[in-house]
Amino acid sequence: MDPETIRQLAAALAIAIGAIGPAFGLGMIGSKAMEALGRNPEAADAIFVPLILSLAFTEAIGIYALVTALIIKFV
Amino acid sequence: MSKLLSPKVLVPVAIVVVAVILQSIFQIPGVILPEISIPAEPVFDLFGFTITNTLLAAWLTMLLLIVGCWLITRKMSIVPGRWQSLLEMVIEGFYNMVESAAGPKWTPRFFPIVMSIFLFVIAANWLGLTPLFGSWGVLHHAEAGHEGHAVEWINDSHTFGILVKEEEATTGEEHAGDAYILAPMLRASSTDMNFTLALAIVSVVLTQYFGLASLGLGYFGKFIAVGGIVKAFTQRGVGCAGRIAAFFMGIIDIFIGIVETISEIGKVVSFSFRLFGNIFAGEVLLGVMAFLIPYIISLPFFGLELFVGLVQALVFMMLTVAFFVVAVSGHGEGH
Repeated sequence: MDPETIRQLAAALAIAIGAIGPAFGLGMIGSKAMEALGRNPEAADAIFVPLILSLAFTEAIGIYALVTALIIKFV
Repeated sequence: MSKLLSPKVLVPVAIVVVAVILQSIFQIPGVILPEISIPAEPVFDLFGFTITNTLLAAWLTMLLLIVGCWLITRKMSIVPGRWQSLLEMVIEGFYNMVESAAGPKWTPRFFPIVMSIFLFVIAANWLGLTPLFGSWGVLHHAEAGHEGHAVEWINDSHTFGILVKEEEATTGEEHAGDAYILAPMLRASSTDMNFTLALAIVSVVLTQYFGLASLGLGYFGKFIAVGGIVKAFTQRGVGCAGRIAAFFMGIIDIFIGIVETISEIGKVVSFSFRLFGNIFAGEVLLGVMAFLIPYIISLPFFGLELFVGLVQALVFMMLTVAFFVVAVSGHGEGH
Protein backbone atom coordinates (compact mmCIF):
# COMPACT_ATOMS: atom_id res chain seq x y z
CA MET A 1 0.00 0.00 0.00
CA ASP A 2 1.27 3.46 -0.81
CA PRO A 3 1.29 6.16 1.88
CA GLU A 4 -1.78 7.93 0.46
CA THR A 5 -3.91 4.79 0.79
CA ILE A 6 -2.72 4.19 4.33
CA ARG A 7 -3.54 7.80 5.11
CA GLN A 8 -7.13 7.43 3.90
CA LEU A 9 -7.45 4.16 5.78
CA ALA A 10 -6.01 5.65 8.95
CA ALA A 11 -8.46 8.57 8.87
CA ALA A 12 -11.42 6.23 8.38
CA LEU A 13 -10.26 3.82 11.09
CA ALA A 14 -9.56 6.65 13.56
CA ILE A 15 -13.14 7.85 13.50
CA ALA A 16 -14.68 4.40 13.06
CA ILE A 17 -12.98 2.85 16.08
CA GLY A 18 -13.03 6.07 18.06
CA ALA A 19 -16.78 6.44 17.71
CA ILE A 20 -17.62 3.04 19.23
CA GLY A 21 -16.97 3.97 22.86
CA PRO A 22 -18.76 7.33 22.86
CA ALA A 23 -21.69 5.76 21.00
CA PHE A 24 -22.21 3.25 23.81
CA GLY A 25 -21.72 5.97 26.40
CA LEU A 26 -24.20 8.36 24.81
CA GLY A 27 -26.73 5.57 24.47
CA MET A 28 -26.39 4.66 28.14
CA ILE A 29 -26.73 8.27 29.27
CA GLY A 30 -29.78 8.76 27.07
CA SER A 31 -31.47 5.56 28.21
CA LYS A 32 -30.85 6.30 31.88
CA ALA A 33 -32.21 9.82 31.46
CA MET A 34 -35.34 8.49 29.78
CA GLU A 35 -35.69 5.93 32.57
CA ALA A 36 -35.41 8.65 35.19
CA LEU A 37 -37.95 10.77 33.33
CA GLY A 38 -40.33 7.85 33.14
CA ARG A 39 -40.09 7.24 36.86
CA ASN A 40 -40.40 10.88 37.81
CA PRO A 41 -41.54 13.24 35.04
CA GLU A 42 -41.38 16.29 37.35
CA ALA A 43 -37.60 15.91 37.57
CA ALA A 44 -37.17 17.02 33.94
CA ASP A 45 -35.65 20.40 34.90
CA ALA A 46 -33.31 18.87 37.45
CA ILE A 47 -32.14 16.20 34.99
CA PHE A 48 -31.60 18.56 32.04
CA VAL A 49 -28.34 20.27 33.05
CA PRO A 50 -26.50 17.15 34.33
CA LEU A 51 -27.72 15.33 31.22
CA ILE A 52 -26.28 17.98 28.90
CA LEU A 53 -23.00 18.04 30.86
CA SER A 54 -22.51 14.28 30.81
CA LEU A 55 -23.45 14.16 27.14
CA ALA A 56 -20.84 16.84 26.46
CA PHE A 57 -18.11 14.99 28.35
CA THR A 58 -18.88 11.74 26.55
CA GLU A 59 -19.19 13.38 23.18
CA ALA A 60 -15.80 15.04 23.67
CA ILE A 61 -14.14 11.61 23.38
CA GLY A 62 -15.78 11.09 20.02
CA ILE A 63 -14.73 14.58 18.99
CA TYR A 64 -11.09 13.75 19.81
CA ALA A 65 -11.31 10.86 17.35
CA LEU A 66 -12.98 13.13 14.82
CA VAL A 67 -10.31 15.82 15.13
CA THR A 68 -7.62 13.14 14.79
CA ALA A 69 -9.30 11.85 11.64
CA LEU A 70 -9.61 15.38 10.22
CA ILE A 71 -5.95 16.12 10.94
CA ILE A 72 -4.84 12.88 9.29
CA LYS A 73 -7.03 13.60 6.27
CA PHE A 74 -6.46 17.30 5.69
CA VAL A 75 -3.12 18.33 7.20
CA MET B 1 -51.94 18.58 0.79
CA SER B 2 -52.93 22.22 0.96
CA LYS B 3 -49.89 22.89 3.12
CA LEU B 4 -47.62 21.53 0.43
CA LEU B 5 -49.07 23.96 -2.10
CA SER B 6 -48.77 27.06 0.09
CA PRO B 7 -46.52 29.92 -1.13
CA LYS B 8 -44.03 29.16 1.67
CA VAL B 9 -43.20 25.84 0.02
CA LEU B 10 -43.81 26.74 -3.60
CA VAL B 11 -41.60 29.83 -3.77
CA PRO B 12 -38.31 28.12 -2.71
CA VAL B 13 -39.07 25.13 -4.93
CA ALA B 14 -39.75 27.47 -7.87
CA ILE B 15 -36.46 29.31 -7.22
CA VAL B 16 -34.51 26.03 -7.26
CA VAL B 17 -36.24 24.79 -10.42
CA VAL B 18 -35.65 28.12 -12.21
CA ALA B 19 -32.00 28.07 -11.12
CA VAL B 20 -31.50 24.56 -12.46
CA ILE B 21 -33.18 25.43 -15.77
CA LEU B 22 -31.18 28.68 -16.13
CA GLN B 23 -27.97 26.82 -15.42
CA SER B 24 -28.61 24.33 -18.18
CA ILE B 25 -29.83 26.96 -20.67
CA PHE B 26 -26.89 29.34 -20.25
CA GLN B 27 -24.48 26.48 -19.62
CA ILE B 28 -23.09 28.03 -16.48
CA PRO B 29 -20.38 25.63 -15.31
CA GLY B 30 -20.96 23.92 -12.01
CA VAL B 31 -18.90 25.10 -9.09
CA ILE B 32 -16.59 22.76 -7.22
CA LEU B 33 -16.20 21.93 -3.55
CA PRO B 34 -13.94 24.54 -1.94
CA GLU B 35 -10.58 23.52 -0.57
CA ILE B 36 -10.93 22.06 2.92
CA SER B 37 -8.12 23.33 5.09
CA ILE B 38 -7.83 23.25 8.87
CA PRO B 39 -5.74 26.45 9.30
CA ALA B 40 -7.66 29.63 8.51
CA GLU B 41 -6.73 31.22 5.19
CA PRO B 42 -5.16 34.69 5.35
CA VAL B 43 -7.23 37.24 3.47
CA PHE B 44 -5.22 40.45 3.69
CA ASP B 45 -2.54 42.19 5.71
CA LEU B 46 -3.30 45.07 8.03
CA PHE B 47 -0.16 46.94 9.23
CA GLY B 48 1.85 43.75 8.97
CA PHE B 49 -0.74 41.77 10.91
CA THR B 50 -2.31 38.95 8.92
CA ILE B 51 -6.09 39.03 8.94
CA THR B 52 -7.58 35.58 8.42
CA ASN B 53 -11.09 34.87 7.26
CA THR B 54 -12.15 33.45 10.62
CA LEU B 55 -10.90 36.57 12.40
CA LEU B 56 -12.92 38.69 10.00
CA ALA B 57 -15.99 36.57 10.75
CA ALA B 58 -15.37 36.93 14.50
CA TRP B 59 -15.27 40.73 14.13
CA LEU B 60 -18.48 40.58 12.12
CA THR B 61 -20.07 38.51 14.91
CA MET B 62 -19.03 41.04 17.55
CA LEU B 63 -20.32 43.89 15.42
CA LEU B 64 -23.62 42.10 14.93
CA LEU B 65 -24.02 41.40 18.66
CA ILE B 66 -23.05 44.90 19.78
CA VAL B 67 -25.18 46.73 17.21
CA GLY B 68 -28.05 44.29 17.68
CA CYS B 69 -28.13 44.62 21.45
CA TRP B 70 -27.74 48.40 21.19
CA LEU B 71 -30.66 48.65 18.77
CA ILE B 72 -32.87 46.44 20.93
CA THR B 73 -32.11 48.14 24.25
CA ARG B 74 -31.97 51.69 22.85
CA LYS B 75 -35.62 52.42 23.57
CA MET B 76 -36.43 50.22 26.52
CA SER B 77 -39.94 50.39 27.86
CA ILE B 78 -41.96 48.76 30.61
CA VAL B 79 -44.21 47.21 27.99
CA PRO B 80 -41.59 45.57 25.78
CA GLY B 81 -41.76 45.52 22.02
CA ARG B 82 -41.30 42.38 20.01
CA TRP B 83 -37.49 42.30 19.98
CA GLN B 84 -37.10 43.52 23.52
CA SER B 85 -39.43 40.84 24.84
CA LEU B 86 -37.52 38.19 22.87
CA LEU B 87 -34.21 39.30 24.35
CA GLU B 88 -35.73 39.55 27.83
CA MET B 89 -37.15 36.05 27.49
CA VAL B 90 -33.78 34.60 26.44
CA ILE B 91 -31.84 36.40 29.16
CA GLU B 92 -34.35 35.53 31.86
CA GLY B 93 -34.53 31.89 30.86
CA PHE B 94 -30.76 31.52 30.94
CA TYR B 95 -30.50 33.48 34.18
CA ASN B 96 -32.83 31.02 35.87
CA MET B 97 -30.90 28.10 34.41
CA VAL B 98 -27.56 29.44 35.69
CA GLU B 99 -29.13 30.24 39.05
CA SER B 100 -30.36 26.67 39.44
CA ALA B 101 -26.75 25.48 38.99
CA ALA B 102 -24.77 28.23 40.75
CA GLY B 103 -27.14 29.46 43.43
CA PRO B 104 -28.22 33.05 44.13
CA LYS B 105 -24.89 34.19 45.60
CA TRP B 106 -22.63 33.66 42.59
CA THR B 107 -25.07 33.94 39.69
CA PRO B 108 -24.82 37.76 39.37
CA ARG B 109 -21.04 37.40 38.96
CA PHE B 110 -21.06 34.36 36.65
CA PHE B 111 -23.96 35.29 34.45
CA PRO B 112 -22.50 38.17 32.37
CA ILE B 113 -19.46 36.08 31.46
CA VAL B 114 -21.21 32.85 30.57
CA MET B 115 -24.03 34.61 28.75
CA SER B 116 -21.50 36.55 26.65
CA ILE B 117 -19.78 33.26 25.83
CA PHE B 118 -23.11 31.72 24.86
CA LEU B 119 -24.24 34.60 22.66
CA PHE B 120 -20.82 34.93 21.02
CA VAL B 121 -20.52 31.22 20.23
CA ILE B 122 -24.07 30.81 18.99
CA ALA B 123 -23.84 33.95 16.84
CA ALA B 124 -20.51 32.79 15.40
CA ASN B 125 -21.89 29.30 14.68
CA TRP B 126 -25.10 30.46 13.06
CA LEU B 127 -23.42 33.25 11.12
CA GLY B 128 -21.21 30.59 9.55
CA LEU B 129 -24.32 29.01 8.01
CA THR B 130 -25.43 32.16 6.20
CA PRO B 131 -24.76 32.63 2.47
CA LEU B 132 -21.37 33.90 1.26
CA PHE B 133 -19.59 32.15 4.14
CA GLY B 134 -17.06 29.77 2.66
CA SER B 135 -18.20 30.28 -0.91
CA TRP B 136 -17.12 33.83 -1.68
CA GLY B 137 -13.47 34.78 -1.56
CA VAL B 138 -10.19 35.52 -3.25
CA LEU B 139 -8.94 33.36 -6.09
CA HIS B 140 -5.23 32.79 -6.04
CA HIS B 141 -2.74 30.49 -7.70
CA ALA B 142 -2.33 27.07 -6.18
CA GLU B 143 1.02 26.50 -4.52
CA ALA B 144 3.47 24.26 -6.31
CA GLY B 145 2.58 20.63 -5.76
CA HIS B 146 -0.92 21.40 -4.46
CA GLU B 147 -4.10 20.71 -6.33
CA GLY B 148 -5.78 23.57 -8.12
CA HIS B 149 -8.68 24.06 -10.45
CA ALA B 150 -9.41 25.88 -13.67
CA VAL B 151 -11.22 29.21 -13.55
CA GLU B 152 -14.03 30.39 -15.81
CA TRP B 153 -13.61 34.16 -15.94
CA ILE B 154 -16.81 36.17 -16.04
CA ASN B 155 -15.33 39.49 -17.14
CA ASP B 156 -12.41 40.25 -19.45
CA SER B 157 -10.09 41.84 -16.90
CA HIS B 158 -10.04 38.58 -14.92
CA THR B 159 -11.32 39.97 -11.65
CA PHE B 160 -14.46 37.88 -11.27
CA GLY B 161 -14.58 34.17 -11.88
CA ILE B 162 -15.73 30.84 -10.58
CA LEU B 163 -13.78 27.66 -10.11
CA VAL B 164 -14.94 24.96 -12.48
CA LYS B 165 -14.54 21.24 -12.53
CA GLU B 166 -12.07 19.73 -14.92
CA GLU B 167 -11.61 16.17 -15.99
CA GLU B 168 -8.64 15.92 -13.71
CA ALA B 169 -7.50 18.34 -11.06
CA THR B 170 -4.27 20.00 -12.14
CA THR B 171 -1.38 20.45 -9.79
CA GLY B 172 0.28 23.80 -9.39
CA GLU B 173 3.68 22.52 -10.40
CA GLU B 174 2.82 21.52 -13.93
CA HIS B 175 0.32 24.22 -14.74
CA ALA B 176 1.70 27.23 -12.92
CA GLY B 177 -0.67 30.05 -13.75
CA ASP B 178 -3.90 28.24 -14.51
CA ALA B 179 -4.45 26.24 -11.33
CA TYR B 180 -6.37 28.27 -8.77
CA ILE B 181 -7.73 27.73 -5.30
CA LEU B 182 -10.27 29.78 -3.39
CA ALA B 183 -9.48 31.44 -0.08
CA PRO B 184 -12.91 32.25 1.37
CA MET B 185 -13.34 35.82 2.56
CA LEU B 186 -15.50 34.70 5.48
CA ARG B 187 -15.51 31.39 7.30
CA ALA B 188 -17.31 30.35 10.50
CA SER B 189 -15.01 31.52 13.30
CA SER B 190 -15.47 28.31 15.32
CA THR B 191 -13.68 26.40 12.56
CA ASP B 192 -10.44 28.05 13.69
CA MET B 193 -8.62 26.47 16.61
CA ASN B 194 -7.36 29.91 17.69
CA PHE B 195 -10.90 31.11 18.29
CA THR B 196 -11.98 28.11 20.35
CA LEU B 197 -8.67 27.98 22.20
CA ALA B 198 -9.01 31.65 23.17
CA LEU B 199 -12.50 31.07 24.55
CA ALA B 200 -11.33 27.95 26.39
CA ILE B 201 -8.40 29.80 27.98
CA VAL B 202 -10.70 32.65 29.05
CA SER B 203 -13.02 30.12 30.63
CA VAL B 204 -10.31 28.18 32.48
CA VAL B 205 -8.39 31.27 33.66
CA LEU B 206 -11.62 32.76 34.99
CA THR B 207 -12.25 29.47 36.80
CA GLN B 208 -8.95 29.98 38.67
CA TYR B 209 -9.87 33.62 39.32
CA PHE B 210 -13.23 32.73 40.85
CA GLY B 211 -11.63 29.96 42.88
CA LEU B 212 -9.10 32.44 44.27
CA ALA B 213 -11.77 35.08 44.89
CA SER B 214 -13.89 32.59 46.81
CA LEU B 215 -11.34 30.55 48.78
CA GLY B 216 -8.29 32.81 48.86
CA LEU B 217 -4.86 31.19 48.62
CA GLY B 218 -6.37 27.99 50.02
CA TYR B 219 -7.68 27.38 46.51
CA PHE B 220 -4.21 26.23 45.46
CA GLY B 221 -4.34 23.55 48.15
CA LYS B 222 -6.36 21.60 45.62
CA PHE B 223 -3.32 21.40 43.30
CA ILE B 224 -0.43 21.28 45.79
CA ALA B 225 -1.94 18.95 48.35
CA VAL B 226 0.83 18.63 50.96
CA GLY B 227 -1.58 19.19 53.87
CA GLY B 228 -2.03 15.47 54.46
CA ILE B 229 1.71 14.74 54.84
CA VAL B 230 2.29 17.73 57.11
CA LYS B 231 -0.60 16.58 59.22
CA ALA B 232 0.90 13.07 59.49
CA PHE B 233 3.97 14.48 61.28
CA THR B 234 2.38 17.19 63.37
CA GLN B 235 -0.75 15.42 64.48
CA ARG B 236 -0.84 14.64 68.20
CA GLY B 237 -2.33 11.69 69.97
CA VAL B 238 -1.91 9.08 67.25
CA GLY B 239 0.32 6.09 67.41
CA CYS B 240 3.06 5.03 65.00
CA ALA B 241 0.63 3.01 62.87
CA GLY B 242 -1.72 5.97 62.68
CA ARG B 243 1.13 8.22 61.49
CA ILE B 244 2.12 5.75 58.76
CA ALA B 245 -1.47 5.47 57.55
CA ALA B 246 -1.83 9.28 57.51
CA PHE B 247 1.51 9.54 55.66
CA PHE B 248 0.32 7.24 52.88
CA MET B 249 -3.00 9.07 52.67
CA GLY B 250 -0.95 12.27 52.28
CA ILE B 251 0.99 10.75 49.37
CA ILE B 252 -2.28 9.81 47.69
CA ASP B 253 -3.44 13.41 48.22
CA ILE B 254 -0.33 14.69 46.42
CA PHE B 255 -1.07 12.49 43.44
CA ILE B 256 -4.70 13.63 43.41
CA GLY B 257 -3.36 17.20 43.34
CA ILE B 258 -1.23 16.36 40.30
CA VAL B 259 -4.25 14.82 38.60
CA GLU B 260 -6.25 17.98 39.37
CA THR B 261 -3.53 20.12 37.79
CA ILE B 262 -3.48 17.99 34.65
CA SER B 263 -7.26 18.05 34.42
CA GLU B 264 -7.15 21.86 34.45
CA ILE B 265 -5.00 21.70 31.28
CA GLY B 266 -7.23 18.95 29.91
CA LYS B 267 -10.19 21.31 30.25
CA VAL B 268 -8.59 23.74 27.80
CA VAL B 269 -7.98 20.93 25.31
CA SER B 270 -11.45 19.41 25.58
CA PHE B 271 -13.22 22.80 25.48
CA SER B 272 -11.43 23.90 22.33
CA PHE B 273 -11.49 20.54 20.53
CA ARG B 274 -15.18 20.02 21.22
CA LEU B 275 -16.30 23.30 19.68
CA PHE B 276 -13.79 23.20 16.84
CA GLY B 277 -14.48 19.55 15.98
CA ASN B 278 -18.24 19.90 15.93
CA ILE B 279 -18.42 23.03 13.82
CA PHE B 280 -15.58 22.10 11.45
CA ALA B 281 -17.06 18.65 10.89
CA GLY B 282 -20.40 20.34 10.28
CA GLU B 283 -18.91 22.55 7.58
CA VAL B 284 -17.25 19.56 5.90
CA LEU B 285 -20.48 17.57 6.15
CA LEU B 286 -22.55 20.37 4.61
CA GLY B 287 -20.04 20.86 1.79
CA VAL B 288 -19.77 17.16 0.98
CA MET B 289 -23.54 16.64 1.11
CA ALA B 290 -24.21 19.71 -1.06
CA PHE B 291 -21.87 18.36 -3.73
CA LEU B 292 -22.97 14.74 -3.40
CA ILE B 293 -26.69 15.31 -4.03
CA PRO B 294 -27.33 19.01 -4.64
CA TYR B 295 -30.31 21.15 -3.61
CA ILE B 296 -32.36 18.66 -1.60
CA ILE B 297 -30.23 16.34 0.51
CA SER B 298 -28.26 19.15 2.15
CA LEU B 299 -31.37 20.75 3.66
CA PRO B 300 -31.93 18.33 6.59
CA PHE B 301 -28.22 18.55 7.38
CA PHE B 302 -28.57 22.31 7.44
CA GLY B 303 -31.22 21.94 10.15
CA LEU B 304 -28.92 19.55 11.99
CA GLU B 305 -26.11 22.10 11.89
CA LEU B 306 -28.40 24.80 13.30
CA PHE B 307 -29.14 22.44 16.18
CA VAL B 308 -25.48 21.52 16.68
CA GLY B 309 -24.54 25.21 16.77
CA LEU B 310 -27.09 25.82 19.52
CA VAL B 311 -26.13 22.74 21.53
CA GLN B 312 -22.40 23.51 21.36
CA ALA B 313 -22.97 27.07 22.56
CA LEU B 314 -25.16 25.74 25.38
CA VAL B 315 -22.60 23.09 26.31
CA PHE B 316 -19.74 25.60 26.35
CA MET B 317 -21.78 27.83 28.64
CA MET B 318 -23.02 25.12 31.01
CA LEU B 319 -19.57 23.53 31.33
CA THR B 320 -18.13 26.93 32.19
CA VAL B 321 -20.78 27.39 34.85
CA ALA B 322 -20.16 23.91 36.22
CA PHE B 323 -16.38 24.48 36.46
CA PHE B 324 -16.95 27.87 38.12
CA VAL B 325 -19.23 26.24 40.67
CA VAL B 326 -16.71 23.50 41.45
CA ALA B 327 -13.96 26.11 41.83
CA VAL B 328 -15.84 28.38 44.22
CA SER B 329 -17.24 25.61 46.40
CA GLY B 330 -13.80 24.16 47.22
CA HIS B 331 -13.27 20.56 48.17
CA GLY B 332 -14.34 19.00 51.41
CA GLU B 333 -17.20 21.47 51.66
CA GLY B 334 -20.83 20.58 51.30
CA HIS B 335 -20.37 16.85 50.84
